[in-house]
Amino acid sequence: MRSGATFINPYMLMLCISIFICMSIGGYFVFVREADAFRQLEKLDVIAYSDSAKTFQGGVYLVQGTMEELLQAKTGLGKLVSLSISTSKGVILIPVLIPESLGGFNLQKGQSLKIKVKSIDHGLLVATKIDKS
Amino acid sequence: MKILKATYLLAFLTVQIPLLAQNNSTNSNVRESGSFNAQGSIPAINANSSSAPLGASPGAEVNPDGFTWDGKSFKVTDLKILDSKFSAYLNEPEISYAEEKDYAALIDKINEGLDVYKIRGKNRDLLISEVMPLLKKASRSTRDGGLCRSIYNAVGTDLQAKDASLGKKERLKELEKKVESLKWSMQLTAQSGTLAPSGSKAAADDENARSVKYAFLNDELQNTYAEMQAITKQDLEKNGDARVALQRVVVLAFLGRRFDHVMIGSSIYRMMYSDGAGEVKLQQKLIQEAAENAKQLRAAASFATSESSKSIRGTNYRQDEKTSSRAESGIASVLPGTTAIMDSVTGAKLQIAAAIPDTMTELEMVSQEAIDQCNRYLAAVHGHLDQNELDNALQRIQEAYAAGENLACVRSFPREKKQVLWKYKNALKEARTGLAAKDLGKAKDAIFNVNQMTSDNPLSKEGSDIGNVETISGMHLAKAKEAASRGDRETMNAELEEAGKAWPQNPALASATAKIVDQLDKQSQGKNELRKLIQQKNYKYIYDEKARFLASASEDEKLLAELNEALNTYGSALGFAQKVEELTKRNDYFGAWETADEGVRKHPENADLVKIRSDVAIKVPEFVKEVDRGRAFELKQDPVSALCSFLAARRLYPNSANAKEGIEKNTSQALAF
Repeated sequence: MRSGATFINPYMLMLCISIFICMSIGGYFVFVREADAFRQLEKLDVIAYSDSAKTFQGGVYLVQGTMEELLQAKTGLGKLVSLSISTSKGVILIPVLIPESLGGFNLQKGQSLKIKVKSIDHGLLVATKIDKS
Repeated sequence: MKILKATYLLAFLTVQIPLLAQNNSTNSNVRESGSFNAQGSIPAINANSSSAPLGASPGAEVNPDGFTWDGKSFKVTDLKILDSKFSAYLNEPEISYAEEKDYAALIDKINEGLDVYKIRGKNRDLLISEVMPLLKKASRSTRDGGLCRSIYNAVGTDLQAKDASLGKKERLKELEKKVESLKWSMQLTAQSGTLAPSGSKAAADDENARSVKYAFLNDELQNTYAEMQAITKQDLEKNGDARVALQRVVVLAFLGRRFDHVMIGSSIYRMMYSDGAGEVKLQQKLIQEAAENAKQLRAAASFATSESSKSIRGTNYRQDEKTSSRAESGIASVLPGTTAIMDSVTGAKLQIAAAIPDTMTELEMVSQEAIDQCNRYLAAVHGHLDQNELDNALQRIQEAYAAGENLACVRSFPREKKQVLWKYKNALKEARTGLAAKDLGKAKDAIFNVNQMTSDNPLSKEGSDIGNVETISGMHLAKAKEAASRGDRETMNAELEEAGKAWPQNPALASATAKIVDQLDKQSQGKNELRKLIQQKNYKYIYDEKARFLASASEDEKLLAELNEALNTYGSALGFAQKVEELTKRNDYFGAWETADEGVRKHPENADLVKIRSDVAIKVPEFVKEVDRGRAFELKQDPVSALCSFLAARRLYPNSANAKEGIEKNTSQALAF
């Protein structure tokens, strides 16, 4: 009775562990590192923005809110939606343009979204990355 | 022919003392010129036109200074005097019957005493013994007026002339005897008284002596003849003068319409003078007098004088007689106006003289006719008064007064009856004055009074026509008012003019004209005020006074359009206000504010809406704040911030039209990059 033959093959074990480690590393890069990218963005001061959008022109910000409504969809440009954002002064609605280049998003009213935005002309926020949370 | 002539003479006398005029109702031109007519004109009554003399209506021509009738001109002043005289007659008390009776008895007694058959063969003696004392007595009466005295004096003058002529006749007889004596002496002187042979010296001396003596006798004879002729002529002239004096008294009595005295004077004349009918040659006398006056005047005014002398051989002396005479030489009178004046005076005298009967008999006949006619007139007056026909009574008494002012029947007419006629005359005059002045109100009242007074109102037709004129004037006034309300000044003025023409003194005319003018003034003021208010956009005041301003602007199309626009604007604002009120009642303050805001944006001038909006804004301050912010961002060209505000507003009031509009507008602008 050879007891060794029935034991787990160490090489196989090693391979599995290696695969596990690689997958973990890959998952980290894929998931954890991505999440860290939104965390590094500056949150948009919605109150200040609603008072003077133009002053935010050129900045990149993180906006986190709830999908309120589709204001306008323009072919070749994208969809202008309004996001409802809770602030210390209550709920504030701001417009955000979701460009077509971001691909098709099924945006529904009430969806929580984390959006990386860039302020362009007139201070209009254009989404560059969206995360449905 | 005599009767015709007498009638004419009476008419002449009547016209010379005509009456007056304003009472001669049937002769009034009111009826002839007539004319109340359908066009509303009042009869043209000349205040003077009714002044025609009695019976003068058919051919009377009225002019501003008086009137012409039967070829004679009468001045207004004459008529006024005559009217005053007649008015005085109507107001003076009648002469008492006792006084009148005494005087009339005396006159009758004189006339009776002068009966042509009774005095036959007694002439002067009867006159002196019976008539003259009566004349003297009558002359003392207050009714006489000195006429009997004049006749008395004229008769006295004649008697004196005849007494004087008795002495002259004695002298004539003496002179006739002297003539006979002279003729005898001359006859003797013509025969030779010497026996000396012819051709001898003694015969020559005798011839010379007889020749001288004959010449003396011849001169004396001629002088005696001249004296006789002078005495005869003087006697005749004196008798003629006395006769003419009596004629003058009678003629004056005739012209003064003292017909009783004409009867006395003519009877006396007929009795005293042998020329029968007593020819009155006033015209010839007047012409002679005028010629003589003219001759004297020319002589006095002539330039050239001439002197001539002639020698008259007397018995034994030379008498140089120098005569001076002024010869007329063509000649400019130093008194150029005098001749014309004399001509006119003479002309007037001849005009009167032409109407005087040629004989005393005619004078007597005409006077008798006048007396009878006056009696008939007075009888008619009493009859008319009994039947309350005052107009006819007034006319008859005027005619009686004109013909026989001094006759007993006229003088003794009762004062009570005269007063009735006097009052009627005044009422008639007032009515005529009212008609002449087109014062229909006054005329109407006066005609009513006349109608109350008499049953033969001569102005009854005019009274009826006044009603027509009043109606026509009223219609024109109504048209003027209607035109004024339309602002049609031209028609209004024309209608007012027509109303004034129809009835100038219409009391409604003045008040209506004042009202219309006031209305037009108000219209004018109203238009100015309206323009100012429109400029100020004070539509609320315009709306409150819209009735007045509509009337004011009715004639001005442009202004009326502006007024309508202002009223529509205010109506629209009023609609917003009402809508806000409704929404507020339903507690829809957001909707109310938005409505008020829309109203204010459309009618920023409407202070009421502004106030309402402010009142409602208090209820929804956050919403108002967001909308205002959104609009403010729009103005700053910040569409994204504006979009944020409008989104916030819509969150507060999802039905907000302002938010929807703002969102749509700013979304497009935000995406336009």
